[in-house]
Amino acid sequence: MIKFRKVFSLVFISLICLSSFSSCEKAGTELADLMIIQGIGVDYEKGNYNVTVEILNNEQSGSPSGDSSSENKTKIYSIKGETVADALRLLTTKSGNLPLFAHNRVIVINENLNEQSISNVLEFFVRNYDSRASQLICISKGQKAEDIIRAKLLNDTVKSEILENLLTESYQHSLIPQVRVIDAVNSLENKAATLCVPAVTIKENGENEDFELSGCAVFDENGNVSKYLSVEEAEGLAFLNDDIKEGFFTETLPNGEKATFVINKSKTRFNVKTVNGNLHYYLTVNISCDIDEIGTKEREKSDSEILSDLEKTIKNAVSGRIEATLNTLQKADGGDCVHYCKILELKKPKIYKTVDDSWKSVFMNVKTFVAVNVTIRRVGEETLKINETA
Amino acid sequence: MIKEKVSANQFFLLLYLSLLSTVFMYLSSSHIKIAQTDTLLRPLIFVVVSLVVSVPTFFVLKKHTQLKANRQFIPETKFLKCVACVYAVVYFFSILKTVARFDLFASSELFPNSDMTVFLVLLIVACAVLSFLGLGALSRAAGIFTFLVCASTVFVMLSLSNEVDLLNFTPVFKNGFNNFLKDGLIFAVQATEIGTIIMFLPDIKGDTKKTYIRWIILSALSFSVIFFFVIGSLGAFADTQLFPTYTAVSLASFGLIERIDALETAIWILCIVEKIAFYFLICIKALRYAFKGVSKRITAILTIFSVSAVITLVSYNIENFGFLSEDLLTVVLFLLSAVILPAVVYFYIRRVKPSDKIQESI
Amino acid sequence: MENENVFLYIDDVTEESFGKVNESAVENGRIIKEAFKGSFDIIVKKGYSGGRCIVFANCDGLCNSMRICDTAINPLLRYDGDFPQGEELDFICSHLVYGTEQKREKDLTKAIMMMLRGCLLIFIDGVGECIILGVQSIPERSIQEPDTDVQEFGAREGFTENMKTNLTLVRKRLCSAKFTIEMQEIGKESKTRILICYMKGRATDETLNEVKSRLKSLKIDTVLGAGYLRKCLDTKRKSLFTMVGQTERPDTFAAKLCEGKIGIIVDGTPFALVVPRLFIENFQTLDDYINRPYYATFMRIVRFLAFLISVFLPGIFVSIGLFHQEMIPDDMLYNIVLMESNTLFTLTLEALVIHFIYETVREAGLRMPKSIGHAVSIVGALVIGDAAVTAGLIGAPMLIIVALTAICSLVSSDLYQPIALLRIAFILIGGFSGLYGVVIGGAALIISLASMTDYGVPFLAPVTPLKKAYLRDSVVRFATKKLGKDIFRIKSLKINTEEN
Repeated sequence: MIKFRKVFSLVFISLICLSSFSSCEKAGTELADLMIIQGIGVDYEKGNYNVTVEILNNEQSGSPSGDSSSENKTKIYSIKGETVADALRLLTTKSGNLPLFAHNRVIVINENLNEQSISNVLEFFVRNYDSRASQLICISKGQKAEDIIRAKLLNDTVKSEILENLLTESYQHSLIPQVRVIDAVNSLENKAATLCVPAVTIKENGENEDFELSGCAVFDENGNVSKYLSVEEAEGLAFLNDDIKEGFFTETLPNGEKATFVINKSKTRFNVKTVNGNLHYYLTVNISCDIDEIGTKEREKSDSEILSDLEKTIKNAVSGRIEATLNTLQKADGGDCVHYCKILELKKPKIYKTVDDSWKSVFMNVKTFVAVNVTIRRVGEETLKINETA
Repeated sequence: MIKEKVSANQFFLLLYLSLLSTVFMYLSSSHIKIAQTDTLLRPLIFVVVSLVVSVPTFFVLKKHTQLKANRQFIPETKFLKCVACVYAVVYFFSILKTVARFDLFASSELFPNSDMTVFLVLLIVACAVLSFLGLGALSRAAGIFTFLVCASTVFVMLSLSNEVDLLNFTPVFKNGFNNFLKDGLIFAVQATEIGTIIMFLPDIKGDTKKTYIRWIILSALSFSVIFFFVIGSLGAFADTQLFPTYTAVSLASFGLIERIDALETAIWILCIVEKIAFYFLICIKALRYAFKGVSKRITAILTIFSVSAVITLVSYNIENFGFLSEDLLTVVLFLLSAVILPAVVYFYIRRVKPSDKIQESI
Repeated sequence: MENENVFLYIDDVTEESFGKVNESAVENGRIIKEAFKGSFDIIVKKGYSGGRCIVFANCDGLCNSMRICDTAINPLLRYDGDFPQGEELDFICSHLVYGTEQKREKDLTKAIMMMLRGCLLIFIDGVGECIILGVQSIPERSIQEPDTDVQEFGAREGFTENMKTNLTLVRKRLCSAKFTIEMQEIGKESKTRILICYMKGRATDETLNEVKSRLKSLKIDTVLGAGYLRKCLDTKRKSLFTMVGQTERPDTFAAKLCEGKIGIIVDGTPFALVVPRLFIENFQTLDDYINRPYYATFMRIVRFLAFLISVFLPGIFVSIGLFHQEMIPDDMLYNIVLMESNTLFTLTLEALVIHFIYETVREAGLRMPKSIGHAVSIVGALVIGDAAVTAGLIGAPMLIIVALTAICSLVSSDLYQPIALLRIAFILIGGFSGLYGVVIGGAALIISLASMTDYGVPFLAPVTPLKKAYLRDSVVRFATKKLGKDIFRIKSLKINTEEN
């Protein structure tokens, strides 16, 4: 038995040592062999996917202690394939390294997928282990996704990082919804819901280019872009989805001055009722704001009157945005990006079962009543009442 | 021979870890939906089923306590040896099920580009060797593992709390009460651990019955909490994923580290190691009871060889996993280990005249 | 199992016996001279007193010559009278020879043994018995601060190589009648004296008997260090960890005895053994009880984390670098990739090479003459610190990992040996099967630690099995007032067993 134990131990240790020292591909991937993907752009042309990737340039002639040279920080490759996965796998032959999708920041999808559904594009990213379910998605509006990935920005930076920051910050400021792979799949899985994805364009800035957000792309049931929401409408969408983090908006006051408010907190509550066979949604938006700037014109009213005016302005602004968004979405080619179907399912499951299949037409006839409660939390360092202009 | 006793708390912590591994590797299937509120209520059925099926075990426990008080033992008979054989077969299949599921998990999520055979065989051998260290070692280690697993799970769940969206839930009994009941029963029968209690009664000290009930309630609560975060954060996406619990964890991030799923799953593996080593212990113990005189090593080597051989065959093709994940097989294993065999043992020992002979197991 | 011993066994060697003390003093002197033929340090001196021949025998260097002259030779040889017939030894002991340590011995073998321990033998013609006089002056080191087991605020006294001195140092701290000492001799050739120390009533009889029987069963030629006894005191000989503690400090030793443990002082070594030792004790120091509890708790957590880092960090780094790159934040991954892409070896081999270099430098630093110590430090710093990185042999991240690991491994010095081996094992496992392999290895390590029980006490107690009251003084340390509620006694950690 002792002999057996010795032989067994020897085989066990040899197996581990062999696998560790042989540096075979199976036992992990050496860091130097990695292709760290930062951003992916997907276009569909002539029956093939054209995938553009931005990767970190880890083949710089740096020193072992990590001092990098003046070479570009990233490299960009474009490659064609019959599927997205096919193209991405072919990339290995072009760069010689193994792709690492785990650090991908953003997937840019061409608005015109030529009848190819967005589900097909996302399939690889949902199935692949490496790929994060939380990576961001955006649509290239008026341009190819490749152009977005290859944008000529001012500095030698990681373009995908800048695009990711733009999307994240805009979301944080409640300008536009943030859509991750998981959110997209959730919307696509629900027959009644409609997917709405931020749209990005490139704006010329002298010799260079900049990214610019241009609202949101709304998808139809086939997974193609059907229409766009403007930036203002996208703001309304954030209120409707109760997705306000923090943000600001500027409105015109009754005295004609422009005022800017900062949102600290916002909560949207829903209630659904059936009135004469029609669905009525009652929205209550509770907002707490700070005043950022309200102009210097003389105000002779009392503090409470001024505050009341300001609150009224905010109320009108918010309900205006919400109504504008709903108007656009409830048109013929719109869709339920506001989770009305999900709210109905949770609040009135029986009614939902009856309208589940014809939700698109039902949604178009839904009536929404918006009530906005505004609280002005702080006015800043300056008093509200100004008697003399400066 | 000095026999070491383990406290009831330690023993049930071992079983708790074993049960948790089932939830961590909870497999999406085409006929049971996860992304619905009913999933949170399924553990309720688990509680009820566990309490009902444990009636024979409680009777055996009662009888055992009486005998212990009189310092009497059940004599080893051919019949009990046959029962031990059936137990060995049941837990052999349970090891296969666990290893196969881990194989699928590892090859789909952990090392998708690697051949898992060597890794799995090493895992099987490691677990078999660890089972040699005995119930005392496994139960004591379970204390530390439970702390690690619970702490890491709570941490991950807290970091997932931002992701939870109440809109991801569905109305209760969306698919009807009957379907809920059916799905709940299928969930409950995963707990083959219940059948192990009877085998280790002589080795447990403390209030087994009370701790058993506590264990069931704690397990059910843990399942519900885990499922709450999985459904709340993933929504319908959960149904598109093979291992939804893992996918939910991959959404969690901590500071600079954006993916802590590898770390979390690594800690889950502690549960899997404990479970496989524990089941190995049962197999070896049952086989040695049935075939007196056979050495521990020979039994272990045979078990390792059989499990490794079957797993290598199963691992070859995704369709092969289907057989081991069959609901029918799960139900049969559960009923045999948790209901039929304890009932048979109870009715048998009720009739048999106890002797002063030492009882090794069962 | 005994066959696995590395020590020389003398079962087949017949022990030399000198029989009984002869009535002829000269004959006794001759036997001693012959037994130690050629040994110039054995001095046999003949003289006359009371009309009889008297032979003095002693081992030079082990006793004080002046004291021999003052207490024995001078008074005896200057005595002019006769010795009372039949009561010679009583008369000499009570009237002529001075000294508190006096013994009479009939067995010449035992007498010679005492001579070799520094006593003076006095043989009187016509008496078949000898007087053994304690005049030892064994050269010894003065009491110094211990080199290992260093404390910030503890006493500056450490054990020395002298058993008696060591005993005195412990006795000084335990002025209690409960403090009991039992002496045993171990080693067929060395006849090393060991003291089994315990507190009566606190140490259980089972543990005490177990220790005694294990020591008795030890068949060994020489005992040149306390560690020689470990192999019989430890049942888990194949484990990397031991349940036999070792200390150089009398205060720590006394504290352990008060907990109900058994201490063993071995003559000729400044290290005393304590059984059973728990895993948690590796992270406890005497300073913890002197410092404020908050700081003591913090330091214990630091020590524990240092242990974890030193065992697992290189393995985890290798596994993350090879298998789980997704865990590394983007910017950090970019920098690491840049640095690692210029190195020669794979990550696993790199980790092994750098550890090999580190262990070599450490070993050289330990064994080399102190005069060239600085040279090794400079070469070590140059080779590991700079040249290896510049030459592309290893990457800077790996160097940082190894440096951190090396420092952490020195925090719990008692655990250094298992740490060094486990680290290498985890690097190999991590390189082969990633984080999951490391965790499986970690699970195996924890289960094997949990399986360790000696003297009825589990190694991982009081954490598992859980003893809530004692958790107050485990990874955390509560205030002394709370600790006083449930005073730590090792016997209460014993696990339940049932005899079949």
